[in-house]
Amino acid sequence: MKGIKISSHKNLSENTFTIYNKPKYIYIPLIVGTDTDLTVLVKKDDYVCKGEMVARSKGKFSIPLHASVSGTVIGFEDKLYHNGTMIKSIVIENDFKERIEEKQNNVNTISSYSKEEFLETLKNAGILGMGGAGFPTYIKYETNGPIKTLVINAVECEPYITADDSLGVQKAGEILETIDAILEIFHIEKAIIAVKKNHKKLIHAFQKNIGTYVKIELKMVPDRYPMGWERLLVETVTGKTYQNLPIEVGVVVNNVSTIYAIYEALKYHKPLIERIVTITGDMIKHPTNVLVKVGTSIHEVIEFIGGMKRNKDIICIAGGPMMGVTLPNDEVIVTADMNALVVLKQQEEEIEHTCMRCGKCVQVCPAQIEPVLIKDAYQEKEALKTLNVNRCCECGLCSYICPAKIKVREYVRKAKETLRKDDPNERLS
Amino acid sequence: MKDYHNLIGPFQKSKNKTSTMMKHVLIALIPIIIFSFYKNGIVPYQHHLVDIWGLWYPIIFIAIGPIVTCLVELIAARFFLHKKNNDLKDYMQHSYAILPGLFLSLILPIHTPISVLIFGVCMATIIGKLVYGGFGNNIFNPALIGRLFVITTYATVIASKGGYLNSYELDTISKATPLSNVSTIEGIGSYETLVSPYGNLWNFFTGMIPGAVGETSALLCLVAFFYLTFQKVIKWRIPVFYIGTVWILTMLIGWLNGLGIWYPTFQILSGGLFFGAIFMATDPVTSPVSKNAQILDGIFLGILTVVFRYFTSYPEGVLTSILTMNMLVFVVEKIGLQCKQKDKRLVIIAVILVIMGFVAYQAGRLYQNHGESKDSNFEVINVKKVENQVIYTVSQKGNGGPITCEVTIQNDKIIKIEVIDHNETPNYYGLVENQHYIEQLIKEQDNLSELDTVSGATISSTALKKLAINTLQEYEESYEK
Repeated sequence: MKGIKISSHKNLSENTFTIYNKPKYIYIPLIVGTDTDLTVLVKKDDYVCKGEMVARSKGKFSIPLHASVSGTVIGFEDKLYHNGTMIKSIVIENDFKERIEEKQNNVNTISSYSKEEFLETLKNAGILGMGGAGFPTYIKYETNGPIKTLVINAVECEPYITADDSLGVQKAGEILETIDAILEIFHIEKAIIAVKKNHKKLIHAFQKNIGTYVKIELKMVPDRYPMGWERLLVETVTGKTYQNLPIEVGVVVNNVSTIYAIYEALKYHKPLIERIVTITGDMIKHPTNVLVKVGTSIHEVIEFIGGMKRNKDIICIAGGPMMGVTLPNDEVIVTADMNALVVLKQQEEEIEHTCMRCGKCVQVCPAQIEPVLIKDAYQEKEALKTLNVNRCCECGLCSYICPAKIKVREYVRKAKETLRKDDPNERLS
Repeated sequence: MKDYHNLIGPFQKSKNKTSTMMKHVLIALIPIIIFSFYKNGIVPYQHHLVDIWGLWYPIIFIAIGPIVTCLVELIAARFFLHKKNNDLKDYMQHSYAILPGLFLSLILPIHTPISVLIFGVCMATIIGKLVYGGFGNNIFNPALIGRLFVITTYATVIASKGGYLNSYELDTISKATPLSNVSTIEGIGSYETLVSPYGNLWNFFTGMIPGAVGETSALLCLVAFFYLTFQKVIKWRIPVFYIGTVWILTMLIGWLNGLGIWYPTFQILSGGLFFGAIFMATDPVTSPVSKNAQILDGIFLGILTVVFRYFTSYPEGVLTSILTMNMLVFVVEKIGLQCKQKDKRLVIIAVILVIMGFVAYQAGRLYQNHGESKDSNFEVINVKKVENQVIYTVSQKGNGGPITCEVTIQNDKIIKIEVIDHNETPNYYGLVENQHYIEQLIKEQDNLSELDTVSGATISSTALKKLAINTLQEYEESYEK
């Protein structure tokens, strides 16, 4: 069995939920994925309604960004983005009126959409993969080949994070309805919802509502990290392996939060302007899942839920502790693909010792590559070619397990860099 | 607030530590050390064969190894690497000097003189470890390097003191170790000649047979194996495939010669195979890291051990196999990577099966013609008849070439054996002379097949024994009728 069991720390924020919808200012970082070349559609002193498009990316995908409150654009400011860099952002002052452009009627049966309408709606609502990848969702459905299986990723294997869990428990009915609609729109044979077998509440929530949906199957997956990794998840629940993308074997994978965002877009014509973020960690007084508006500063939310235990000797991590990125402070802006802020005690930097070639990193690697051999050859392009470096999903298990505390993943990242050098084709795979 | 921006994750880490893994290895060795104390100290003491010093000698012997390795590393770190205070402390904590010394103590014969032990331990640490840059960088298993130095340079000294047999065994069994016994008997042997001198196979399993200080008990090695595998310390595939391969190959060899299942079991329980497979072949630093490569490493080790045991004059094979594979780890690692592709994997499996079949067939055939034709290593050069004596000039192949002798037979009895010419290693041959082996041959000429060879000079003494047997046979055929 691939992956290993690691302590989840999810009990900190499990079963908690609160809403923070009164930010004075919201900030829309002008970035989509890694693309910062955006067309800004508003200027200073413009009035914007809630859900109005304020910017869109220039690339072929043309992803829109929306205002999550109604109010006045008061300018542009550099704000902290969850990848750790400062990004120019639109600042909107909230007038707390929640004014919407033009009221559209709710759609009663969301399965009545045609394929084209569905894709158009997703595109306009700016629905992104909310598990962390931030990949535009409609592209997954824009395929020529038939989709055979829809896999719903509700695994959330990263420790501490409970955002998907919290959403799933509350909105299980809506999620199932959306899955059923997608199955109908795209004539997909079946859907599999993958849940960790120890997430009892979530399993219960789905089981309560699943009875009427014959095409939807709930599958329990082992409590192992990184079970939520697309490749491993597809292999575990369907038994299929693929080269680059799951669509090769007729599979589309969506995060459970993304499915709910699709629901709101289909039903209420609501763009992706809200999401649940888990704010947790040993240094947060009251760890909680919070429903926040995209563009809110996490700092405000932390103050709202009771603050931190201390603000010295801590580390703020956007995302979970395994794959997350450290931030200089907690003033990070919520975007659609940011699922958590984990605040931990400052850990003592561990000294790396000599590698004794115990092979543990090879044993645990879910991609079944040899991290230690990659580490040995991370600057030698020729040697790396046989080692399947780009299969690495950067889950960090090699660094996690290493008894000599070597940061193995960083060597693999450097190896990827080595391969990428003067070889643009490698970037694609 | 400090800038913690560039910290590198993951921020959740396992509790694994190199030192914890080493601690588990030490824990796994404790029963083996206690058993060694029982077998080499308590049992001889109970039979009043040794004094109180002899009782504690095994413990002292085992302790000297690690103490000396630590000292050598300490000196090297202090005076050659110029480490001081905390630096020095840190270095010693992470060099795990204790293990190679302890292992070496456990794989040497109990009668190794302390000075030779210290020499071996120094070689293990310096040549086996420090010259490569210390812990984690060595190519060969340090303990095995130490043993290689000891057995190649001091074999005769050790043999003359009693070799592998402890005082109790010298008194009761007085045979060499099971595998050197194998090389002295005619043909492939039988249960009576191979196993019975040491009791039964259960003794082999528990470890109450002659052998190095700590490597005889397969049972305790197995316990250690399960413990270490459970604690996820060792690469379990290597010993499983190593021992498995040896068992299968020797099973085939035994089957070709009409021997039962006891034969491969005897083979795997002899010669420190379990200890070597479980503790030395899995040494993390000198073994492959990927799963396929570990399986291949185990299989190749098994094949090599069988090759060394059957086709060379060195009966044991484990040490040589492991050192050879240490050298080839990077090759095995590469083949292991190739195994990931299905078509290549099939080719590699096929090649391995062919090699295994070939080795088993060739080794099995070694003994096929035995008994039907005469010993091809024996040659009658001249026969003279003087009065009532027949004087044979005969030669028998020894270690360094033919040993030529004049054998005088009178009244159907050998009365004199005179070595005219030989090319044996002086050290070994000296042992033969020291023990008055030729006089023994004449004395025991009616029971030559029962006569023990000189341990430490097995090949030379075996050649002389066979020479006597063959000459008598020649005489019988010509004159008895």
